[in-house]
Amino acid sequence: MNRALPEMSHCLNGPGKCTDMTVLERQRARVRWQQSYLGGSDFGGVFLETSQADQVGNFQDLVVGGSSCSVLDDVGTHSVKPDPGLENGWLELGRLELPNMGFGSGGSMNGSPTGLEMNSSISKTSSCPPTEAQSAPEAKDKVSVPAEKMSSAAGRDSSKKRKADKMQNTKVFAEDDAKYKRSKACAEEGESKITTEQARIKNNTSTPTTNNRETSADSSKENSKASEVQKPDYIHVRARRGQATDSHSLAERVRREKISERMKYLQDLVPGCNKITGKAGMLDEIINYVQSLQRQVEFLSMKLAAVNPRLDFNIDDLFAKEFNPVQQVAACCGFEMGLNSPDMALRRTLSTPVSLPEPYLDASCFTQLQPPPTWDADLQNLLNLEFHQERSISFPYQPFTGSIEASNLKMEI
Amino acid sequence: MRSPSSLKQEFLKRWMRGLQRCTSSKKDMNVLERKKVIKLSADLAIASARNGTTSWSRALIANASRDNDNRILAERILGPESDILIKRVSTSVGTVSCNRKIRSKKILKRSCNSVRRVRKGTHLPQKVLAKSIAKRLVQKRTQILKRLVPGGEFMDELSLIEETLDYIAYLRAQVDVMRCIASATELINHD
Repeated sequence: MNRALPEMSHCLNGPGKCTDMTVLERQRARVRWQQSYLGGSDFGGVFLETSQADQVGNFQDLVVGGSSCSVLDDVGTHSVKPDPGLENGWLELGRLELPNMGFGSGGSMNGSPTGLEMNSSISKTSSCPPTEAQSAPEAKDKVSVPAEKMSSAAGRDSSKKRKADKMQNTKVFAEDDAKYKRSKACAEEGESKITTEQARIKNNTSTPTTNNRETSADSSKENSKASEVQKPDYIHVRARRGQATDSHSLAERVRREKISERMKYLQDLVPGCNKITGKAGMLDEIINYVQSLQRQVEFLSMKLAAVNPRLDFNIDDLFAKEFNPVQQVAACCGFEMGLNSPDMALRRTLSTPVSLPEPYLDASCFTQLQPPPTWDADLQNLLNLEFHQERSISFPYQPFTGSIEASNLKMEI
Repeated sequence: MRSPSSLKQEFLKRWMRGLQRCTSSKKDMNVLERKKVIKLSADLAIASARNGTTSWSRALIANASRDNDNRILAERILGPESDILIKRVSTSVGTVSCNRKIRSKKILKRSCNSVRRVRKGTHLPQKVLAKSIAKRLVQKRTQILKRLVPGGEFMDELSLIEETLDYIAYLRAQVDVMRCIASATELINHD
């Protein structure tokens, strides 16, 4: 692109007087100029159509060919210069495009051209859709001034740009890549594709949305992957082959994937969910699990209230007094978890009750401490229970809950 | 995700602290009161452990401080940090109530539309029918889940599932800790 700069400025200076020329003259000048400049390029054939009837067609060719030229960096010739006549007509357009060009979906194609560069890359602009909304109407106004056919061609192009605006406004740039690919394919395949595209473009100037669909259809036909532009706020989505590429479906797919990911986490968390695949079934299990956990909390708090008449949970305090507090809490939790080495937990818990009897002898609640073996057995049961799945643990509690809840009801009444 | 043991430790610590703060004032409480206190302190303990990062914890605290008589208790349990926490919760709850109106309207509209659709669609292909049935089932269940998870009524599906994950982890920790303490005290008491 930088290489093209001096050439561009040169050719800019050249036809500075062209504003007075008629369209025809401009066309002829263009052809001559093209032939002189683009002798050896691959796209020479593209631009050699000189029939006046095909003015617009030529224009399109130039535009598309230019775009493809700009797209393909491999093709060394960045020498697709806009023809002088066209250029003047487009100069204004170019200047308008200027501030809006920036990066774009084809961000790789152009940097942020400034001033002169913009004019040089006018032909490239057609393939670079991201123009802001303002530019399009302005461009259209100014372009409609010079000549009918030019204006119609320009109108078509600006409709393409307007399309581009809409595309930019949506979060997915599928169409850009589709165009990219399309123009690339055009360049490779030659005229036939271009003419077919012209036909398509001519037919579909009415609604930009249909164009969008068309391009998305194109993209799916050409098996292109759409990728998102590097914009900070947007989510990067890649459309898979053969799938719709409009923004809504892509966003929905992202959402669905997120949800399914979270459901997988839930599957790990909720026991017994491994065999169930459907959303509804899993939600069912989750609901049951949450309900059972909540009921357990209710029941346990009731039990604790019943067991401790004075709400003094002095166990931990006592533990803290006797042992190292950190160790104690850890021991308590090791005991609670029961998932770590069972022996360790058992040993720890066995050690603690030894100290218990002394402080509790003072308490009024109880007199004797049970001998360790029974404590041992109970503890072991508890720990064993905890080793298994939650479900098995919840079962022994269900009869409890039933009875306790019944008693609750009685008390409340 | 935090490790379960650290979660339990945290919960236990806060719970005990809250209970101590609570019992220091009142001397005699009947069973129900005690139960309420225990449960409340447990809820607030874990909710404060989350520090208002999750929506359900905020909703829990908000619910707790809604009733006046609970509020004093809650504040006492939460201790010195209660002011900050409650402020944070109230700010978030304010937005929730705004969303509530919007979302309730949306829900109304949606339900009306779905009713209309059901009446119109008579001869649908089997696939579509099955899909719609499945959809409705899922919707029903998400409604139930929304009611279960505190503060879940005004969330979209994605965040609802996240909140549920967190809430389940919390409930599990709570149940384990309470069960162990209950069994320990029981055993000690019966000795």
